[in-house]
Amino acid sequence: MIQDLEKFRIAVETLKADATFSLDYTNETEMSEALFNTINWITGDDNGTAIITKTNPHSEVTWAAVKVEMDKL
Amino acid sequence: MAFATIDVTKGITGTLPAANGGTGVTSYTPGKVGQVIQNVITSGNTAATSTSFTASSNLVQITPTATNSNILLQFNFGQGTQTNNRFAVFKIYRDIAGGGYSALTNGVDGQPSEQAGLYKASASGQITSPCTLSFYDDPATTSQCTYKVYLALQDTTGTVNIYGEANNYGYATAMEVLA
Repeated sequence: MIQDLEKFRIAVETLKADATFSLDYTNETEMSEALFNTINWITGDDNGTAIITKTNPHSEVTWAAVKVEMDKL
Repeated sequence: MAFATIDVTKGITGTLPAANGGTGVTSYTPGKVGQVIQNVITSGNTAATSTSFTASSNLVQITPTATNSNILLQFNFGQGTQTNNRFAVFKIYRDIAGGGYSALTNGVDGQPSEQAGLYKASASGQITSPCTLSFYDDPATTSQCTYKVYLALQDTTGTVNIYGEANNYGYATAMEVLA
């Protein structure tokens, strides 16, 4: 499991308060740019089910910006 | 040694009482389990940060042999959260022959979901626990059914997980119960 996932989530929300996502991962123990690029971004809700896209809809949420915020935590 | 044989189609009547080692019944209905499929979930973990339900890789596929069969489902997996005072909620979704996933309904409130038994209350680290979901479905089809666990955060913000990794594999089981 990823040990710094909570830091990552807080960093993302610092950059974009309403940004939510799901992430599939296997043996990784920390977040990386490669994992960041696989995120399912949630763009809406259809009767309780998330509407997702692989295309990052938040221009301010880049891996570089997220990493900076993570390092502050 | 000579063995005697008995023709059970002749000369046998009555019921062997339970006190004599019998069942006390005159006939029985054969077992009705048609098939059992179990999928060991080794494909990895899913983390979610939304209150909207998102798919995990925890799934099982079964093709009923009759439209009046029911499917008994059981999912066993590890789950956890890294966020204080938050826990995961789960639903079972079903897809029939690639037609798209929809949440199973329980006929009571239309929104069946299961919450995990534990939530994190400490300041750091994360907490995990086992979780079991069961459901008795009536898909009314002989097409392939795929049942998948979806997860969501129960409230506001946080991170919740469902696991399928080494030392924390999940098990997804589907049993066809014949009519």
